[in-house]
Amino acid sequence: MTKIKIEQGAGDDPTELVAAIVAGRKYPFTATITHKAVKPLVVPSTGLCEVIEPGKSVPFKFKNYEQVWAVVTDSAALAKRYENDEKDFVVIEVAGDEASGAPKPQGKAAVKAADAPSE
Amino acid sequence: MTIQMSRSIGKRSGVQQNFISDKSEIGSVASDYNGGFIGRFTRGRIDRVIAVSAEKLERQLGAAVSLSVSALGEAQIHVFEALRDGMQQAIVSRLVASDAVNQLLIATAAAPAEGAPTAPAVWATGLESEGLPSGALIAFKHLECFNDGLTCEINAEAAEDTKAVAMPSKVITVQFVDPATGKVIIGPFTGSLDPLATDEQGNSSFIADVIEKGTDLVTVVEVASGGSVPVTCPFYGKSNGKAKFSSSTLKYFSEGRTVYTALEKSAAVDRLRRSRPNFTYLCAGGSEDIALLGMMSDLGLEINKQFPFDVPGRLSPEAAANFIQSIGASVKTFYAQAYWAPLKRNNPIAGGKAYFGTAGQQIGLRCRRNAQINSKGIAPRNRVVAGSEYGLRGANITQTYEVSNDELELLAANQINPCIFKDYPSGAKYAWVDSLTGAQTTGATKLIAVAEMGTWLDDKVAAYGQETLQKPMAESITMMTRFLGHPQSGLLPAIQSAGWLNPTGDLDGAAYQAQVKRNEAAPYDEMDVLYDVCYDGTNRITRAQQTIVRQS
Repeated sequence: MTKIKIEQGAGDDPTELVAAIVAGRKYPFTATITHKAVKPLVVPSTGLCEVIEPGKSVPFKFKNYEQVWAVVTDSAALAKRYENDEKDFVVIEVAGDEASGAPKPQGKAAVKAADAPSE
Repeated sequence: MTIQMSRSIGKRSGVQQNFISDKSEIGSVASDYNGGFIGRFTRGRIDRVIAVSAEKLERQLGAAVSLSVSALGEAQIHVFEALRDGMQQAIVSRLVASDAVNQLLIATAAAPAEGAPTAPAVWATGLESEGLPSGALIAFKHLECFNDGLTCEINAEAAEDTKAVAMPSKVITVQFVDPATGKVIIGPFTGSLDPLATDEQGNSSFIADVIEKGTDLVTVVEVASGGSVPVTCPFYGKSNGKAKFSSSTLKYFSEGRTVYTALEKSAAVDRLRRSRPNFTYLCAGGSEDIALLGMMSDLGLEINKQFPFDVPGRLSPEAAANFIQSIGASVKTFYAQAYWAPLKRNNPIAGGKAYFGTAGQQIGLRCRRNAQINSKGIAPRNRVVAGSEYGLRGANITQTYEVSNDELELLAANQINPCIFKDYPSGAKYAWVDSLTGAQTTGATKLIAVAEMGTWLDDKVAAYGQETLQKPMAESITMMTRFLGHPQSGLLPAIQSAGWLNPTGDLDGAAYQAQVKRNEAAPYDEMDVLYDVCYDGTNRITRAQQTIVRQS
């Protein structure tokens, strides 16, 4: 299980977080999203047409690289809009381990992925 | 001829006739028919905005991309629909990632090597940082950044020495062809490779100067010092009476990522901010990007431009309301105006049926309305593009969500204007059934009509205010007072006569009042312009009551 935490400012350069989500996976793949906003959110880039309640884990599909990028930047924009300083305002969890030999995320993304508790 | 006057007279006797002083200037806001767009396109400058007309849409922005291929193709639909429905020009800022690379177009004039059947390739691409490669003749940079490449063509004019023997040429002709249409779009330009060359009038005929004078779409980056075209070069002279051109389609522009960082979005928004020419509306091209929508809305607030935008039509009313709340305060001003269309319709430029927004069409129709000025130059901005007079244009429209009254209440409570099927007595249509701005108020600014009139009035006053700057204070006050309130030519009487205003008790029965005076704290260099207006509103809700009385 890969767990990616998204905070304010992650949209400035989402490359590493995006790499951590897609590493070794083939499209489409399933992920879940949870958030800590005070209100239900709509994140159109997830492809979900309904609201996402705070704290509730909702499954959705990543269909391509562009979508992954958009979910990360949208999540960061929402953290900014709600002035939420938590490091895990949005958490994306992707089922399954990274495929062996797949490129490993570097830097900040790697730290965030490593911080995730093992399932 | 006897000249009856002089321009300046000292002590002698005569008539000094001064230069004519034209103080009849009316002033205009020509941008009333333009919209500023942001989006991803496959063609277009990346250093500044471009002005796109209906006739050159594909030439300037590239071929339309189906929404099945990329949701980013929606921006071009908005530009198309706005231009089709009444907008004069689209001022477009192209979203581009920092890894985009615009390579040079490099021509080399080499003769075939001895024994070789053909000459080396004439055209190639190269990095700007590396400059003109050794042996190359000239390097160009195409600033329109076509993803699909550009066909480059070059010919050298035959030259002879005094004994009529062919000699290397220094005069070249270059032209650039649209690979999609095969038409020459830039050039032809004929000039010399010699920086000192001049034409018959003594003007520089150096190829870099000729091109710079003729276009701003291509620049000459470097010309080889002492360069010339050998006689055996494949593009030297003529063949069968026609100039021999070496032609090649170069894929010189790599767009890079089609997803963007916050900084890249901000840079694209900034290009709109610095735009020349001006525009009246902002459009995000149907983007669902939360950060981008917030930035565009903030820009609207900053530069006094309305920002009609779309909430994704595939969302339910509840999700649409949450989407608006998710974007937050940025869209809670009267500049931001949200539209929600749960409609699938045919993509008018790339085919296929899909959800896409109606903001572009709104802007087109608003521009068309703005063009219908009366004799005093006032457009019917008090009439919103909504209700029975305006139907959404489109083919094969299907409404995918039937909206209940409760949901319409929810949408209105969140300042979202639905575009849905409505059976009016004058005819059924898909119509914008409301006209609310994002302002969370019960005041007049909750109405798009008031936003239209209010922003226009401020634009006009600000524009005229520029004219009064650096003039003597008393003269400035007189100018602005006349501009605002002159009974025949003043702005406020004009908008009242156009039906924009309504008399009110707050203004003692008048519809407006204006005061222009020196600032009390800084009387020498600050002028205060105060104007109060009472706008006419828009009938959004009609309440009727029939009472049946008993026969007597």
